[in-house]
Amino acid sequence: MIFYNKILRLEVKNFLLGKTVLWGFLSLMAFGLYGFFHGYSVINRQEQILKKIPYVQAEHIQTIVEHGKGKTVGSTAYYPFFYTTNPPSPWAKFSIGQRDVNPFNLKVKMLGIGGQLHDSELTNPLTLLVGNLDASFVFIFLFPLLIIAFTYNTLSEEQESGVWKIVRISSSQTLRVIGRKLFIRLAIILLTSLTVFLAGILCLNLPLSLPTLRLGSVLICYEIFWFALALIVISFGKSSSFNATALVCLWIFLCILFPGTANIVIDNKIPVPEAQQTAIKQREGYHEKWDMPKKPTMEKFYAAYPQYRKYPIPEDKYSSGWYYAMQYAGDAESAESSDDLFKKLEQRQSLSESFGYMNPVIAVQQLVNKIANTDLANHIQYLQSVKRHHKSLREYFYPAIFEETLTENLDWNAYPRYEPAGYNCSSLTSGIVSILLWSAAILLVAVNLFKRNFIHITDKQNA
Amino acid sequence: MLKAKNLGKNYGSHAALNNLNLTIQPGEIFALLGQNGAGKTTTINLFLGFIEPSTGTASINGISVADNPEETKKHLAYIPETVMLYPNLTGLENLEYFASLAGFDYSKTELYELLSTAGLQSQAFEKRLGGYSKGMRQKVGIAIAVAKKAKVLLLDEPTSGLDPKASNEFSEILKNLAAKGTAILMATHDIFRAREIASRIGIMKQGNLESVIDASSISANELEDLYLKTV
Repeated sequence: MIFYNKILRLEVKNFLLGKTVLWGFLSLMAFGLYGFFHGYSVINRQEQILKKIPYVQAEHIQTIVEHGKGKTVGSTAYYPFFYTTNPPSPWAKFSIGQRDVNPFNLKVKMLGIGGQLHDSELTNPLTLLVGNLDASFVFIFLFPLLIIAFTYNTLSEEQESGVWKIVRISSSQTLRVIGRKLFIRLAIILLTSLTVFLAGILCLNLPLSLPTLRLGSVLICYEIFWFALALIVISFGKSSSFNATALVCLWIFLCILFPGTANIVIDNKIPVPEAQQTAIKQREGYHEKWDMPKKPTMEKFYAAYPQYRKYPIPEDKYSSGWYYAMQYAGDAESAESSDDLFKKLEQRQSLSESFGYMNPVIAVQQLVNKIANTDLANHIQYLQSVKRHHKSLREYFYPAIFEETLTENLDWNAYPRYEPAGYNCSSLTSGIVSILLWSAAILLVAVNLFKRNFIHITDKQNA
Repeated sequence: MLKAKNLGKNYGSHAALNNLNLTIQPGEIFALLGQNGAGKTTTINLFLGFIEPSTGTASINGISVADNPEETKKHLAYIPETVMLYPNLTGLENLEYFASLAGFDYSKTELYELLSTAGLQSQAFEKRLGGYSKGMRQKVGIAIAVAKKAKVLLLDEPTSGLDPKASNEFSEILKNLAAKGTAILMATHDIFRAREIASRIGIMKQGNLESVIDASSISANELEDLYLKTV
């Protein structure tokens, strides 16, 4: 035990005094801090905007109602926007995911929903290309580089310098010596990771709850995967430069080439022309009704809302009931392509999850985004809830529109308010199983390769 | 005691060592002379267990190196041509580390003593090894070998690159170790140093041990002549 403690202390000291460790740790902390800052500023900006929405909404409705006095609700209801919001979870600051691409608030009018649902800000393609250097980026893409820097020369450097010969002669348990060196590296990697993660919890004010624990556990598993991968490479007993090159190539493949190819495959396999089609069909479905007899339009509307059949719709002149029925018809005619669009988005999500089984980098990215509620699934849920909310808004105004109620006689405070769905973390099982299986399998292969190649390694270097 | 019986090593069709038969008794210093590629380092590596023999056996204290390499290591210490240790640790820490690896728990005073005996200046003990000269590293290597209390010491051109003073000090240490019963096998190019410290000298050529001479029976000049004729 005395020997073990002495050796461990000196091994740790020797490793920590290496320049790679200090610079690696400092660089990662610097990137980590920037990642926290970036995540915080993006999400904080969104939160500030979302905070203002209730006031903007109230003021907006008040202005519309003021202007609409003396006119019917049918006339006034054309103008107001009704805000919906998708507030970020506390973990969105850790992983921005798709929140910078997809709208985090949508204002919908009483008109057809088809075109409004996919209305979003234009995003600078250069910004999209670069991506977000948030905390999840640091952990998923930069941490593996630190693991590579810490491990690539674990044995080879000592073999190349000649220290290993003395180690071999000094100890009769060389496998244990190697094990200790690897254990120290793994421990320091995990400790660094934990330090950066704890700094993240503090800087981003993440709650100490299950999702934070899940986030930490997933990232630890991911680091073990990379460590095991590095172990496989060094178990072949090649030179330090070979190990470094091989590991960087693996990093490029797993972090850049594979996900990029997967993205191209998804785009080609599941194209989504429905996004455009829905908007066109909805617009056409609505616009052509101006030149058509009113009856077929109204029949479509009555099929869903028979209670309004009793209100007369004059064939020879404009009426609000007919106008909103046209909007409804536009949505009804584009409903199929709208449903197809959602199905295809879900298929895309599902296909990308399948790619996660093949590549732990993708699996972890999806898991982290899922935990942070910043993935595509969260956006789809939001859009669907906006659709439902839009329907409830219409149904609130329809009676007043068909009864031709005056604007001032409608309770404008009673319209349905959008209630955000709140934090909802869908099942993480498949992703977690994927990363655990990968880590365990790679670790198993690495340990076996090490045992098998060990004699070969030492003989080769000393021949 | 070191013993080679019909020991040979082939790399493909090339024989690096042929049918070596040699016994080195406790307290004896045996110097192997020969040109580069004569088979000196191969002989040392076979005794160290770094390579497996193609023929014959190498044994340390009666234990076959090939059959039981881990056991024979316990009796062995090794000093290569250039002692490379951990540059981030001090000389003292390196000694402590390698002594602990070998299963020895020395106090700080004992470690100081070992380094002093090896001839290292005390002001260098707590300095990082990265700043040591070759001679200083060699001295830490000796201290590590001595700390292991090994019965057999293998040296591969240990004085190469050392200045004459350091080389002399090194020779004295080897003589002292031999006097305490350590069997020493040393591969070297230094004919005069070999003649000065070795009990017996072997001259190797193309993997064969061509001749073995009693060092006390030959002058330095005669040895040089014999060496040049042999190689």
